[in-house]
Amino acid sequence: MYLDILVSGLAVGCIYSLIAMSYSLIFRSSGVLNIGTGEFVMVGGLVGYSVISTLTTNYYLSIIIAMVIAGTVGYLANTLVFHPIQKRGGQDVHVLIASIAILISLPQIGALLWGAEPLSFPNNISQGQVNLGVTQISGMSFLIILLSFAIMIVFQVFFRFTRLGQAMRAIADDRIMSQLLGVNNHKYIAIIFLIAGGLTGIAGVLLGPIYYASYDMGTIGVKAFAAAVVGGFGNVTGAVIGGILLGLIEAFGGTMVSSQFRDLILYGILIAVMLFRPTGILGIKQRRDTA
Amino acid sequence: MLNVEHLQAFYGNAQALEDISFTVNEGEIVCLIGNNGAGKSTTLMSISGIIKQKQGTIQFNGEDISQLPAHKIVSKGIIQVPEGRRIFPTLTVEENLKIGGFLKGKISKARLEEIYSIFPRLKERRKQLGGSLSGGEQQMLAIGRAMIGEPKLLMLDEPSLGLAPQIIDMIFDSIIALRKSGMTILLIEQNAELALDVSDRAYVVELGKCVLSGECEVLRNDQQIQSIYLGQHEQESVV
Repeated sequence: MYLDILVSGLAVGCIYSLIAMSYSLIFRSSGVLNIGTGEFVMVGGLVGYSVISTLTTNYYLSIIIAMVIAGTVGYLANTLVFHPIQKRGGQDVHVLIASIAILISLPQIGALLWGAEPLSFPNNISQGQVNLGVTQISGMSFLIILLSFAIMIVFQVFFRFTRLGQAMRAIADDRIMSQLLGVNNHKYIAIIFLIAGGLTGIAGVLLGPIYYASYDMGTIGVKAFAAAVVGGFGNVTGAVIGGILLGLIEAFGGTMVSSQFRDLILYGILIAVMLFRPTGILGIKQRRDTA
Repeated sequence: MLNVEHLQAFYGNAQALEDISFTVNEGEIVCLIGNNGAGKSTTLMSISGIIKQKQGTIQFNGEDISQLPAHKIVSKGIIQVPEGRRIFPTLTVEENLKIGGFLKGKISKARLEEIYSIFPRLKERRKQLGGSLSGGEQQMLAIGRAMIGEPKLLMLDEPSLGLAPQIIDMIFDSIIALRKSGMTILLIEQNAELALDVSDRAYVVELGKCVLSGECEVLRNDQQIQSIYLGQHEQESVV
């Protein structure tokens, strides 16, 4: 039983991690606190549902298509909303309000296009079991954990060893200095929004089969935001740690203490962590963006 | 090479530069001296395209660059080492250097070695994070990082700031070495004595205006300069 809780907690935690990474990537590169990040998850989940129920039965293909669509939505959010506001001298608070507008309007669009009823993914996706020698675990959880870890490793390698990844880290450290060395910030921040949107799209399709897809599934963004803050806001590795931690606390708290008070336990522990480490587990990294 | 005429710059409604005009010829070291807040750094940030609210002309090799975005100006060959060095703290020394050559594509080992031969300390510390370096090492890294981008015009903003005297000597020795290799340099210094020592010509900036200019040898013997800048520096160093 403990193993089941561990595996399912880890799986949900991985999904939180993917979304939390999206929060941190966007915040640290562009300075945008995009509260609407969770709504990109909804886009991914609903698009994934439509793909798998009409176009193809291939789950992996639905993940890829949802990733592309959610990535495009993220890209457009920057190009049409955040970047123009920042360019015209908008402050953090104006950008925040715009992201709240996204948080509120995207679910309405989702409800218009997909209706208000929760939509279930086909059962065959989530029913399989994986044999691990002595024991069996849920195939869906196994897939989520495997895919998430693969993505996280790809990110670490990308940021560490590629020229583009290093330039993005330079932007995250100091937005003026990177420009003084010839990095076209605007272009790379746009790419980061595309990547971050894609991550949440994957999260949406992974979440669909273990719960359901619906216009209001974006509320998971609040938990992922909490995970990003607990890990150290703006820190991608911290986002991974925070997400997994949250998933595990939620799973063990919900099953072993009380399922009714699951969120109370979760956020109680969160507040306790913030009291001891106000900057999160790995700390907030400072960014410079003034001349 | 660089020709700035009647440059004005603004931060919102506040005018930071009123009338800046100067020229840098190929192979020269030209310095801008003046007190803190006179507008020297603002001048460099305007040339680099970071400050966008500006009027007047900035010509580089005959081309007007005043409206270009920052990364395009770098690609023309103007690279700045800003005040406070601005090393990327979470990147290693070697990663900092590589970002310096971002527009050059992949940086070869040989190119890195060239920089390491000028600043051997950087080689010892190449795996360390930029944020863990001392002030002097950061200044070496900042200059090395700019050099790797192969600038045609190198702009240095207060390279002596906050450094110990022997480190300042070392940094200025490397500036003199750069000049001998044919580099064109625009230098900003509050320490006028130091600046006049290494430069060919100087411009004095006061309250956003160029008020005086000339050969360093001449300016050094100018009564006004001696009393305001060279004298004042001695007072400061006593404090």
